Amino acid sequence: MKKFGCRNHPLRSMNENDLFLLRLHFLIIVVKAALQGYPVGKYRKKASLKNAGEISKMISGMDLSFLGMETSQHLFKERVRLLAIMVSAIIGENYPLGVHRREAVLDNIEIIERCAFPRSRLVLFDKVLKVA
Amino acid sequence: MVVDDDTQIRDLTVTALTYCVNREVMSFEDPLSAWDYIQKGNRVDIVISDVDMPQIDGFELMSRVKQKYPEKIFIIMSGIAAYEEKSRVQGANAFLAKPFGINDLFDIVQHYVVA
Repeated sequence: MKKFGCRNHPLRSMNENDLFLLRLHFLIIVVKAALQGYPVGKYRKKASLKNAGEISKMISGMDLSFLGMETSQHLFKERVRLLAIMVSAIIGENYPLGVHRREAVLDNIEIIERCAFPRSRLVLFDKVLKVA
Repeated sequence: MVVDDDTQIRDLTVTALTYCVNREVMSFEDPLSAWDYIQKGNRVDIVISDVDMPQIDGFELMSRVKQKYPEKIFIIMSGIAAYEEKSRVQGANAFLAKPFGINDLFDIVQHYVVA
């Protein structure tokens, strides 16, 4: 039997913080995959936009002190909202990405990653993104 | 197919898997509805199911599915450690331990869909 999921910590139910980090990680993957030119089909587009909408709603009332960030929560929340808007623009509306816009997206992702996933390296699953 | 009575986890798992496979992923909040859907001959390749749910639990759903459709992949997901061994004994293909991350869902797709 294969095992996936939690390995280094005791098993437990998933709380709002877990769900937020999962959605945020997903949001970042979606943007990175789009920037790298992976295909976006009908269902992928729908899922990407749904996640962007959900995380925008979710983040408003959240207490993010569990992240132990040095920057302000307000600024971080604005960055996440901006990233959700970027997803809508890039994937939903197909807006063109020039050099500067692309840099702005990548800068935003880098700062969000540093705050929310300081010890993780976020990878793209090439085979899944390419083939599916 | 995702079966979980927790709306937030079910929705998130379905959204992420839909993105991964780029096709529709069915979801049910109770195992009996899921079983009804499977029995009607609808195409389901992989079932990811929580355990503790109303009416029948995830293990009972797995038992019914495996008895009638042994080729289907069945993955038990749970935040209860004791269910890992029970999953192994009862014939699950995999155990998805909570809390899981987005990489775990990609990993499942890479293992069972892409490979």
